[in-house]
Amino acid sequence: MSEVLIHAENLGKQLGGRWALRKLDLSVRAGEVVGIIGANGAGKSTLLKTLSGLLHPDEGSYRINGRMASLLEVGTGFHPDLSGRENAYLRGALLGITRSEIQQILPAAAAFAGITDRLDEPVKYYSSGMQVRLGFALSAHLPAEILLVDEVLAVGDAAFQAKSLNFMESHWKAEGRSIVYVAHQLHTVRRICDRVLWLEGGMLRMEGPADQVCYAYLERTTAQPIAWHLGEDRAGLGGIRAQQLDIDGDWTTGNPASVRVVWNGAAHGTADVRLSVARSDGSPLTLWSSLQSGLDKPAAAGSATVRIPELALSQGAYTLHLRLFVDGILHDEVRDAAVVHVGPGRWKGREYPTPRPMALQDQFWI
Amino acid sequence: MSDVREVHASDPWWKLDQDSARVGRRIAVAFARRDIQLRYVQTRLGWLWALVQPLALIAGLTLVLGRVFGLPDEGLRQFGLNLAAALPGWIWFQYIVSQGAPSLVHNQALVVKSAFPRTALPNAKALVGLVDFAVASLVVGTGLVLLDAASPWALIRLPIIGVFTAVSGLGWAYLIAAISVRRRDVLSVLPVALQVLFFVSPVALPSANFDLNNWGIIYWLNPAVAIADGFRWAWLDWSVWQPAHALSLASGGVIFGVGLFSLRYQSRRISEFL
Repeated sequence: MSEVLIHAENLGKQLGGRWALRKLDLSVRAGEVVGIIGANGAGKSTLLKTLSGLLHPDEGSYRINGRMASLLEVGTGFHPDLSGRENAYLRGALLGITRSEIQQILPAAAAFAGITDRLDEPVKYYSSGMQVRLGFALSAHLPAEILLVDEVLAVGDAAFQAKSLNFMESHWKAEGRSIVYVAHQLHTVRRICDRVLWLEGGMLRMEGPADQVCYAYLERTTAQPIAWHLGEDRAGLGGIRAQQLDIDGDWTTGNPASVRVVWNGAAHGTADVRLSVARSDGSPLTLWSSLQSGLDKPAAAGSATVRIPELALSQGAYTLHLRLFVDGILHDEVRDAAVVHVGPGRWKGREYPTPRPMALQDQFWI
Repeated sequence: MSDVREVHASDPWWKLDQDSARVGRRIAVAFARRDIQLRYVQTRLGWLWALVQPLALIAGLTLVLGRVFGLPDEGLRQFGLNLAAALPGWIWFQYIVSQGAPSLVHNQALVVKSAFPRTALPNAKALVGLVDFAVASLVVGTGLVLLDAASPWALIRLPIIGVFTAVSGLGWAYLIAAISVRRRDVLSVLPVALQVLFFVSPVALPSANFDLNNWGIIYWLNPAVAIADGFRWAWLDWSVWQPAHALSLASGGVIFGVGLFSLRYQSRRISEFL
């Protein structure tokens, strides 16, 4: 077995008179990628902050064996008047890394971020995307055995996110560096983590292989068969806003289902109500769009209903993302507007067993 | 690499991380370098400012205050020497306190995300001030040699009183920085307090010229008294010391200890409160 790089025993931390973290045992070996999942306030960030030395534990102990870089913040903290190079030295110093060590990694990091030719320009002339990319690239190339990562992969555009994820797999894991990775995007956890800890209320609820824990987590968080929730955190222009979802039908494979969307507000033009069906980890499977189906609904109408005669989804949990467009302009976006559990049913007259939630397709084989 | 960090809940708050001193030194140097690099960005005179500033300050204060006090030429020379010897040291002390104390709050984003030793930020300001002090001392030293007023003892005595300046300045900077984590009020009061301190410290005139009445003990508790008079002792070899200077010297040492422990005590709470 490889060397243990992080060993925590009975770790506990009280914040504001409440136990934000309690009775946590954690052991991370060299080359292992450990994911931490859980709802907001479950203690994920408290754990990382404690391990990085920002918070002192109120209970228990931990031992860090090796150099640790904590990437709690990637895209910010650069000084605008200094060049990318000078900022890199400064960032290194904060983690106890010398100028010469930074000089060694800088060419590779700059190339990864795609800013090699602009490394000596003041950072204020960089685009915000370039700053974020440089921040991640620097952190990713740091000479450390242990990386504490808090949601850094949620930076940059989709292409850069994919590149970063690949880099974590191909370099960090391959070089035997340990990673403790906190994320809300379950599909990245499942992709890169060997082992996952699920925290709830500051305590460990479950620990095990990534797929197993993520699945249990989803089951738990989406326990009700159908639930909808239109949160406050909305994107879009806001001329019209969704108010209500009426979810009807069987929601079993191959049987009818319907969703009625009710909105309020005033806008002129043609509404396009889009419901994107995704797995619970956020990866999209299919789209239901009123405009694409030929419905010419004025934005002032206030409601639209989609009827699915034969639900082409296998058994499992799905989330619906709702977006309202008027003449092609996004007015409202509700991520995770609803969670539905599709029950077992027959698809085109047959049982259709699949290991995980999937979109089914009318098909002919010859 | 064999860096091992072991932390127990029961560790006393004053326990030092074994390699934090090394990391802290690197951070202080990196931040001082940043400040110095940035200082002359987008200026025309650039580095010349480092020479012009102390010269202009000494000349200006000598002429203005000399006029206010209505000094004759000989008195003006004496007054100018007094001021020139003490001013760079005072400016350094005042820089460490005024810049070091708010450095945690100013670098809040960094401080709450990164667990480096908290003394590094005030220390960086002390280093920046040291560079200014060195340049100003070169200017003053050249002037004093030309005026045939410099003592050869200066080479030995300057480092001694210089260390005291840094230590007592950092003590106050640490203490105020530690308080500022919970109570920002101290940072608003600070510029006024330093302004007042300038007038009750023997920067323009040596302690011998002060008429202290009943305020003696409070006057001598100010470490800037030992700093200003000490630099006259160093540069000009004047016999400035009175028994009461021991109080001033002691207060500088005590405040360093108090400040250091306050900041270390507060370190565990910084990312909760800042």
